[in-house]
Amino acid sequence: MEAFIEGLRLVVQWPAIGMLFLGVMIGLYLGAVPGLGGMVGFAMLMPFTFGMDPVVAFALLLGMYAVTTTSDTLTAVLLGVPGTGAAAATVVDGYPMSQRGEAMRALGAAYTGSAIGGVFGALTLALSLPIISPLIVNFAPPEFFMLGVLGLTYVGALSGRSIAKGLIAALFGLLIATVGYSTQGGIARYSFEVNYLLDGFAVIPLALGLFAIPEIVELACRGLPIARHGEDTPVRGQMLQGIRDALKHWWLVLRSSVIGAYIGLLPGVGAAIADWVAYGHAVQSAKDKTQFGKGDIRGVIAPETANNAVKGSDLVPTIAFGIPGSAAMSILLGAFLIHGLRPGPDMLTTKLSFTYSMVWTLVIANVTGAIALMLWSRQISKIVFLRANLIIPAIILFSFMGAWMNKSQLGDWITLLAFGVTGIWFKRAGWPRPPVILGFVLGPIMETNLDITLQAVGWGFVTRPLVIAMIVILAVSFAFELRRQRQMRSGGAVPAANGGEAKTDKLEAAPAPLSNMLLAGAFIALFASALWIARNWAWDAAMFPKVIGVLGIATGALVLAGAIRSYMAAAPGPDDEAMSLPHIAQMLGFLAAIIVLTKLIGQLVALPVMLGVFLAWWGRENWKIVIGQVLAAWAILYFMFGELMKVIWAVPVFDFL
Amino acid sequence: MNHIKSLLAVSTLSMSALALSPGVTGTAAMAADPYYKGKTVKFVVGYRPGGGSDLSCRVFAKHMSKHVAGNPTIIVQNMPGASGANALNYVGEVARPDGLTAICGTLSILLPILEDPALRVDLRKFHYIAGVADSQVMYVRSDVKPGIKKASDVFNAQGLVLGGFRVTSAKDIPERLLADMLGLKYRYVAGLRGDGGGRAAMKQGIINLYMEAVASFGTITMPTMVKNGTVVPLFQSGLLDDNGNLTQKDPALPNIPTFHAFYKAKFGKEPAGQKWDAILSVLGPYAVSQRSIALSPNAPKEAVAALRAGVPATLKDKGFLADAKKSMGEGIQAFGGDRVQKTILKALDVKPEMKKFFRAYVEEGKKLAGRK
Repeated sequence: MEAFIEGLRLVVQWPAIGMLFLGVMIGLYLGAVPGLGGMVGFAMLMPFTFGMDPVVAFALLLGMYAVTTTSDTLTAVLLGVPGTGAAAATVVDGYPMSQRGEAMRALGAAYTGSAIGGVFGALTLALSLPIISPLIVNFAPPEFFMLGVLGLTYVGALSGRSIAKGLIAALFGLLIATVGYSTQGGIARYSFEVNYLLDGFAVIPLALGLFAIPEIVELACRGLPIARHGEDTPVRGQMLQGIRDALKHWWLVLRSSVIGAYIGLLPGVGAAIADWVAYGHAVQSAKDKTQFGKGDIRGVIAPETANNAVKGSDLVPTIAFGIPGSAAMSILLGAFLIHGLRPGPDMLTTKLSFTYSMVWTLVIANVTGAIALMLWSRQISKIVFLRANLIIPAIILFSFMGAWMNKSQLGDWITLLAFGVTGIWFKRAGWPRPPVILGFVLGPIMETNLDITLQAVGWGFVTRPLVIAMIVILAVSFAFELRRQRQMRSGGAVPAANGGEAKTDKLEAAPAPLSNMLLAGAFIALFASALWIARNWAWDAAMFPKVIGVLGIATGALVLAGAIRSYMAAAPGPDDEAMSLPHIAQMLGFLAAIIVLTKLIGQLVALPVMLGVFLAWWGRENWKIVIGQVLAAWAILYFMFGELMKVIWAVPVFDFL
Repeated sequence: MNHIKSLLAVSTLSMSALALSPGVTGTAAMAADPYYKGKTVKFVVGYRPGGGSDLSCRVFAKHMSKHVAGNPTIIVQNMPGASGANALNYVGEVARPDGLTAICGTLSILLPILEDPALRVDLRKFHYIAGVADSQVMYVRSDVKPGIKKASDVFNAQGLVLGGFRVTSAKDIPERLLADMLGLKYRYVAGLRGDGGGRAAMKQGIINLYMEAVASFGTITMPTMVKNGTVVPLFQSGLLDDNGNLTQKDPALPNIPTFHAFYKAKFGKEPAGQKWDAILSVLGPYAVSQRSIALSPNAPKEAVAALRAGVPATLKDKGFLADAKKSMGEGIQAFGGDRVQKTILKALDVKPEMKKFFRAYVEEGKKLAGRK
């Protein structure tokens, strides 16, 4: 107890408290810019902390780290662009709320959830350090594999109308997660001797491609502001309403905090998974599921609470055992060592007050970060009412640079665009995109841990007590899901909350039957080629691709049959002129041209110039706006990414410098 | 104290070497502005931030600037991927010929030895500036049957399970080779995610035999697993003595025998043979320079000379030594550019039969890492 208070005293002292607030400012900024986040922040700030006292250094580092998952909501809700990998689930319901003109409400609820979740995570850090050992010891690869399997059951919750399509989407996510070196490193799978693919894909370019690119294209094609129906929705009081929403759903907030904190304790499963698990849980546990995916406030609260709760508990295995749970935690472990701190029992004995100072840092940072955002968001959120042309350049810039932060190679942009095309196709065909990300983040956890389990323990792992418990949970949730499906089919449909169709329904173009059929066909072809390529691989490399391939073809055939039927039956609907294929292709061609031009002259010139071309040619804006935006884009690239982030620029064919 | 002496010896050595080489510190350089005045040098690290490579590069970047003529700003950039090959390709192929781009971090010596197609550049053409030595420690869980109380109990151990990353990695291959030399019977599990994953698997008993770098062993594994008796250290792979043998203990681990001594105590003779040669061809160069700083092959001569000239003073810098001690453990061994250059050139001059041996050994590993 004494140490607990001593920890607080250490943090509120000058200069620690100043550094803490500085860290919060930096963290809010890093979280809000897509592609940046806690990991980039650690890498950027660490050199500055070398000379500081440890308490001060960690006030800065953890102050920053605590709030990146608070501010990443901003772009996820306002622009449909996840600010960090941990906000991908927030997009699903947060963005439709923006489109409805309720951005402030979504943000208010998210910030409240983030603050509570973050404080909960910090308390988990304080309380679980002494008792963590059994969890780490008993939660070994077999249990991690089962956790992945359990996570996959959320596909149902994320699929919307068609579970079969959701399943294919998840299998697609699992398949792209197998790209790169197999677990044992024997072969590089589906890499086609391209170096970029050796280590596989990363979640940020994937999520930006699936969610942000389709939004960019649709905004450009329709030319409407993001809040398409928001003119009549009063903005005043929305923030307070959002806060009230979060408090009203206190039970969900609490459960999401527990989910986040628990996932944080498990090394190797980070915030990018916690948000999906919490989201899936919110959907599964809700009585009325009809509004999820269309702007249900609970779909914002759950992931935003969980991804902050991860932050505190994430530190536990790192501090207690030197087992970093995520990439960001490995950097933090490095920072620990640089400051002469050693993980292990010391942190609970001689360094206890320091440990508690970290808890307090997280508490203070989470609360002040949320309050700061509540005060500022009013101004920022006005962008959803701006003309599309004025915000598209910014979304393009941040999506592209966000993807670039992954490996700083043109491959990041090609990935972004390739999954962008996939995302547009999904949207047209009315297929759910979230299961792709879910499959992608769970895939490596399942595959690596099953592989290690089979090598070290063998199939006998199914008799481990925790594994048995998880199999039981799995069976029970299956049974429930089956019963629910039967009920739905027998007409005992789940009642809708507001007794009618939500406004957002009209926004969603009816699924195009042709795109739907072609997508099902394309997936069968994809899974078949994946199977064919994997035919001669060693067992460890081939196991997952083969299972995925077979399941994918079977489910694909089922969906294709239905898609053909509905294509035959479909009456030609009214043409959606704005979203016609040539129109979409033009915009995609424009985005592709950015990549080509960057290859030729480098992005520092290519990006601003192309954004100017977009404004002048597509948007027909006047020259003042064009020049203003081009200069702004250049300044952001040069100062923010170049000078501040030390980003590695593309080396162009024609090198002027 | 041993390491300080060797540091000083190296520094004096490279300084005198530099003084002898023409056009370095001579009148020509005095007359004009220093090459690096007002410039920014980028250290490109081929791994994600936070690891051993990244940390040591950041420590160098922080302290080297004030000892290089012209005091360039030195920044660290990360370009992870393909076991470091992406960054090597970048520095080797596309960096501008201005001497402002250097590779920094663990040099995967096995990439060229295994002729990995991911690596497209010739490591011999880089201009080496400095290197940090590292060695490895192997340790075993104490509850391995029939119970491990002291290191030599490992020879009676039943059911050893050795943990690794990838069958081709520069960690797994020496790890298996060392265990093989001792005649240990083990199962090999590949696929662990970094040392964090390795320590977790050790703690859980999923594996019970593991090897990691001295730096992280001393700073992380010692306080968390050795002190409470979960694991027992067996040996350290050793640093180079004057005759080029791996018989020197790392100053951070005075109580753990070198592999050389451990082997000799058991078998009564010095380690030798093809497997030992293979171990030396990987761990030998690492005992000089596991983590290297090298300028791109197209860097101008005066740039190479200017950076190299800054190394000896950096290695003596109090601030540098203090930061290095914290992040890389007690008493690091670091060397200047000439020594590293020679070592790498020699290490990459691998005989065809040795390459063949490594390829066969990797294939054997793939079979070993099978289902239980």
